[in-house]
Amino acid sequence: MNVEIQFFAQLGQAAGTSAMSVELEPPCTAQELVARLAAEHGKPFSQLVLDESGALHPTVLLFVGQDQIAWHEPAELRHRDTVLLLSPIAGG
Amino acid sequence: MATLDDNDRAIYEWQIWVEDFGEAGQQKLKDASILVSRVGGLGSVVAYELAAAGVGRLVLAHAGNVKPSDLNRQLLMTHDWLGKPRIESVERRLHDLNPRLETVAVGENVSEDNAERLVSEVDLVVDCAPLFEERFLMNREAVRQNKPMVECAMFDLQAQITSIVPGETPCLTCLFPEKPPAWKRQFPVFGAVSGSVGCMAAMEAIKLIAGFGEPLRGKLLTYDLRSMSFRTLSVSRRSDCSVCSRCP
Repeated sequence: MNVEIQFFAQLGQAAGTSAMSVELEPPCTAQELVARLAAEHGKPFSQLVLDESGALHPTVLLFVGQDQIAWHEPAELRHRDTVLLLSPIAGG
Repeated sequence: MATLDDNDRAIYEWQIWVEDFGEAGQQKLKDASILVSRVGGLGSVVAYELAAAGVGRLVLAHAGNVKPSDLNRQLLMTHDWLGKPRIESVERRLHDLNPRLETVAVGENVSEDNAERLVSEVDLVVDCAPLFEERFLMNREAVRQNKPMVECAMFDLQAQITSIVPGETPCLTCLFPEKPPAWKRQFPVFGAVSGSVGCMAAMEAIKLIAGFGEPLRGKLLTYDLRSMSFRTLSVSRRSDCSVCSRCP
């Protein structure tokens, strides 16, 4: 299945792209995808996305489609889902 | 409470025509007091639009003097005011636009010393600060004092905005329970990006005060002007939120 991934703000900088598309073998959850992305995109990215226990960093929001995903509730992905990882931004 | 007069009706005629707003909505704006902090890239545009719309009173907080690097986006700052207090430039420009606007100009940023008092003076807060310490303080006080807060932010060509209604929607600490380690005080951005989300924040404030339309309650609007893509996301309260979990 094909899944679109979007990175917001500093996560896009750390990943080197604001969007990408991946082919996944089902079944695959959003949490498994995030762990895979963290492993593939290097330490600057993984340090932003995951905490020391390997869970989603508390300052990162994960969405599938329009819905926010809680890290402890596995969210199975479907073909053509859009996954968004969002880090906080401010003013200035 | 001052009622609308003929001068108000002449100035705000075009927005009084807006369906579901009318003279009743305009009266609510005239009676309203709103905190905008800070009044930089985001807050300048928020404050300018609120002053233009006829909000009766603005409490404005921003420390420091105007610097050259402010001028690409902080639209209430001017070249002739370089090196002088930002808050004076803010107040002067707003009164040029709307001489009847009441302003409370505070030459400080929001801090532990003033957050409670500043929020207590207003009906609604618009959070435009660059530092999460200030944003968290405004959030805490807005929740504690049961006042709505419009939360807006920008980075590069991206921006996001949501409206926080205590007891009903996630608060800022629900979304981000701690200061993000990667956030830097200085970052890339165009004034057109901060201005775009500043206009949206002003509109959210107007809707919340006047009680019409559908504010972004429990919704986070994110967009990227590089690709002109917009998404409205559903966000959730945290049952263990240190700030708002005791709200009903």
